[in-house]
Amino acid sequence: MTSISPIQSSSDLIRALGGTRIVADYLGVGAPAISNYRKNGFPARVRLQLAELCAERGLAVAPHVLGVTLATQDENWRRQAPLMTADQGMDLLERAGYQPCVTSILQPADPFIELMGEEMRRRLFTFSDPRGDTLCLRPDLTIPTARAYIEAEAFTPQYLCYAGTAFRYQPRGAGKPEEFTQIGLEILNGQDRKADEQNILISLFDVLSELGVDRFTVTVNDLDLFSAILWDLELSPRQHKRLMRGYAHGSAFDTALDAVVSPPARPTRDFTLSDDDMIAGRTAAEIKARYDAKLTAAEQAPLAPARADQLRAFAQLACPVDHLQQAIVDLGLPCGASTQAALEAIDQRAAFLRERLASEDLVFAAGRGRKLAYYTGFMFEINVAALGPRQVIASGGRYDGLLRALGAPGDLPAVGAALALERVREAAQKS
Amino acid sequence: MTERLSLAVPSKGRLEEQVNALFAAADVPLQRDGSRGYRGQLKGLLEVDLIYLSASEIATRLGEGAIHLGVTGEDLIREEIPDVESRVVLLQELGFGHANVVVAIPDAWIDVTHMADLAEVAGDFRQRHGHRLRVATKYIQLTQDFFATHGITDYTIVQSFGATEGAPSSGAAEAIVDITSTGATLVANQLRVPEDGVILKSQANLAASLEANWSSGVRDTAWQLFYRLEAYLRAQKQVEICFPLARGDHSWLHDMMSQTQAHALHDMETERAETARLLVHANRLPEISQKLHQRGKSIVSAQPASRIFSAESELFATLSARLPH
Repeated sequence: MTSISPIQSSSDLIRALGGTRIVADYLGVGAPAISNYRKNGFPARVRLQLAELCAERGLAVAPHVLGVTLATQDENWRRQAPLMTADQGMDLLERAGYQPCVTSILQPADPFIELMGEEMRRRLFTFSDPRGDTLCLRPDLTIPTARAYIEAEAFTPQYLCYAGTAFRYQPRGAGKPEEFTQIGLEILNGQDRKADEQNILISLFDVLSELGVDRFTVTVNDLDLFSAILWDLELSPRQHKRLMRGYAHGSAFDTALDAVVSPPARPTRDFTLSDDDMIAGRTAAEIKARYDAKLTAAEQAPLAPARADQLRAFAQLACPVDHLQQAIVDLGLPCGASTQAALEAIDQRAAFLRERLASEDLVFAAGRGRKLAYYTGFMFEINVAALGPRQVIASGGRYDGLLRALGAPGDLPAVGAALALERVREAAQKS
Repeated sequence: MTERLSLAVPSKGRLEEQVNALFAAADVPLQRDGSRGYRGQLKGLLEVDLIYLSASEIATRLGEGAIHLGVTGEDLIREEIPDVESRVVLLQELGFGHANVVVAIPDAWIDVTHMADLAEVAGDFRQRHGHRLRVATKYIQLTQDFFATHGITDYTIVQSFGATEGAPSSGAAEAIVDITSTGATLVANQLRVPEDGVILKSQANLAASLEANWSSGVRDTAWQLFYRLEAYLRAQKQVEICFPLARGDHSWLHDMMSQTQAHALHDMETERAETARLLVHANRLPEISQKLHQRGKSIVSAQPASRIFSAESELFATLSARLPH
């Protein structure tokens, strides 16, 4: 028999005790906490408990694993408030009328790849099952919840809430966990858009408050405002659609602007196929119609380069909501009827938010939220600046196209929000 | 910890022949253990472990840090290695193995001339035809990145393991992303590349893995290898020119050399040399000789150099700049 050498790291000890789940249950904490322990070592308050368990099991542990405090360890671990559990948030949401909805961690990858947009696509943990289907670990709980709603096939108005672990790849050294807890709420096929949005916001604020976070800023954005600005510029439908698509996908906006400023010349080509011929899934008639539409569009006036610069500047705009109208005027964009109407809609939401926030804490940022491709229209983020790169503690918005894209029969309104529990805890400690 | 440098080269095909020719010309001929063996040595640099692998496996191993250096196509390096910029350095384009990674669509889609058109077609494809636009490719990563910069999100990738260009006519996909060197295969399959549909102009590269263990012994060996390769590569691009120097030419010569990035082989310090000998870039030769004519040197002769050795290895400098000290 060889003698067993003492366990040298927190990660090895967690493994020796039976893995993340077992240790999490034993200590009464969530799985993400255990994953932090693996990286950063054990905080002082769990060491005694673990030392007792190791003694019971006869495990030999090197002194530094449970004894000496590591110099790199964050001071906060020792000052941490009693751990709050996801249950607190869920209890509150249930009392507010939201039904808990449980979804699987393991999800088919396609809906996420197709609907979450490029930024999130890169964060997805995907793998193949033995049958060859591509699966993923859920990167958020909105799409799984929406899928569960559609599978139930009732399509009645529903108030749903959830809590669970989500997984997103982070480059090494990014300082963000790849595994975190989301608590969220959704109103699917709700009947009163304005009331539903307010309900989501009030409930989210209540949960945050329950978890100890009362001081934060809210950043809002609204795709409808950009669309309205384009209407007031009286672009052709093609130009409008092109810019809208580029804007919604962030990274493609510059390409779209360039194409609208200097549309490529259209050479004419002979086309000898008859209308019902199929070429790779498209009929000759369809191709011909689009081709003709393009020729007509080529005669339309391109966007002036100065206008393109104004739109580019708008895409970067960030200012207090109170100054939004002035900021748009300052950029030199016409504030026509459509823009006025969109601003008014933003103002109405702002009026509601101002009951809870100082006006300087309510900010408009055209660049926010656009990376999550399923948002349509209004979206928001809750920020706690003290957290630096992790300052977005919750976010949400409208995603009226999502249910249809996932297979619902028609456009059903949807609005929701989710918070990242670990960040909320961190924010609670700092406030 | 190993002190040996591992270098992977393609195990078969045209690429293998061209890599063989390059290393032989650079005085470090590859010696394969048996004509189909998977191991070998570099003659004259015995501290190198030579490994023969498929071109795509070389890319994967570079990403993992399982080898120090590898010769393979840039297309494979960019496709196979996530987060490539932080893990691999492309040290040197080798001037062979040229191939473009392109998007191709049916030529009869006359309404699609640019990626923006494809974005629009993809946008309504599902509504019109009941499924998303399908793109057949083995370049999944490159396709996703390129389509994203063009705002195309409504599509699905159909993984292809060969004969990708046949996918549109067989009904397996509507568009493809594939490599092409002459474009002949695309034309034969009635396909066309949109005007802005070239994703990457690829060629064979010497690449170094930043994930590998670069001990000081391995770095020394790499320096020795780069020293030899660069002496040969430099000699492919530069020529030596000679012309007589007159009194008072020296400050003019300084200016001309800095303008044309030329190097002096004669003594520049004492200003006593009667003949100038310079190394210049071959592609600037006509420009330089005409400057010399204007200065009264009516005849300028140029000779190819067979090797140009330099005490400074640029490849080594590029690599060390990215390695921890």
